Amino acid sequence: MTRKSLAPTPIMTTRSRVAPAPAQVRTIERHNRATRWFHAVVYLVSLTLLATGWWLLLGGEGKPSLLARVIGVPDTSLHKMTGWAFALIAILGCVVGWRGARTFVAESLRIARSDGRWFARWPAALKTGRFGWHDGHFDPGQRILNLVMVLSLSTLVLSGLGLVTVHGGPSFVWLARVHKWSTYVATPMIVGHILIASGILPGYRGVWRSMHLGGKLDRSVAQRLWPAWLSRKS
Amino acid sequence: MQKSFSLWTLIALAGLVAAACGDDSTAGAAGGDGEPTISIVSPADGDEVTLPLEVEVDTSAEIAPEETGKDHWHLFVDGEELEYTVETSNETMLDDLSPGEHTINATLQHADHSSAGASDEITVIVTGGATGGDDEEESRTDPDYDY
Repeated sequence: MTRKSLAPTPIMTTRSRVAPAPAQVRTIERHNRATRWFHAVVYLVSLTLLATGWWLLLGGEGKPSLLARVIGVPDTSLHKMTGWAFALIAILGCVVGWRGARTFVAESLRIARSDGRWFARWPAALKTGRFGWHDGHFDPGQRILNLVMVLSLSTLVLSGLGLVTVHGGPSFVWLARVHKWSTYVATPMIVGHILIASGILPGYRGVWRSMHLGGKLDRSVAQRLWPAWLSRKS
Repeated sequence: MQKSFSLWTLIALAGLVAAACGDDSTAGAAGGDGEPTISIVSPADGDEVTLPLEVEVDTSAEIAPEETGKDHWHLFVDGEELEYTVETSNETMLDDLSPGEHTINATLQHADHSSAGASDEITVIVTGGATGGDDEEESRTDPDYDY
């Protein structure tokens, strides 16, 4: 090994006054801090709603869940209170972060010819990580998930608000049906999102960092999942 | 895009405002004089009872499963409000009380499980036959089975 080979590269040296070029930085911030906090609050509230909702749906009413025991209110009240919180957070997020909300919707509504090829390669890529190329901020699978999740969660919120407003009667019966069927749609979306975002599947390993612990996503992960977005950012 | 975003925000805000302001229940919990009522008609307050114990209530509203949009009532014992049974008819059975004094609570609830604003409470004294409720129930309901 020669002396030359031991010389530190610009990115490794701490004394270098030259800022590393974007392409040389190993990580990249995919979402800003506000988005990451919004996401964290939304999923904590959503998971509480999902847990209490399914507890009630499966006949747990009157048998307090662990969370209900800790907080000291029935699961029905806990579900309603959390639902109100979710509605307020969603509206606040849309109003305060309207630019982000607009981008989220616009990017989720994109359709490209290359999407079909991306979907064709997706099952194998779950294991290999060799996803098809796409030019979006979100990959084609994410776009569908975003839209279905937002629509089903919006339906859940609106029907939930309707349920606690009318208390009973014929409109309650219909709202309860809408609420229940929206749950059946939203639940697999949320579970699928958690499965993918957690990085349990080899193809999505490391992706969880884009939303957690400072949002420093490894560039190799970004290259694998969002190649065109990475090029635009670099 | 901005228009659709504003529309969603408006719909959501309208829902919130409506929910926050409205209490015009269509559940029909109110009796003739407008006040919802529930009273435990059996057993009577202070009764000495044995198990299984039939509890019967009289309500101002029609009682039915929540899927129908009608009211139901919650039954709980000794003030344990978190642990209750959802009752969708006017009669029910209690079979797991220990011997001694107990309070029996009944609250009238809307289909969405919010309180209809009516409740009743009585005290009973359970004498004997308080343990092994399940066995008793089996022998009571299936007397002809030969295992």
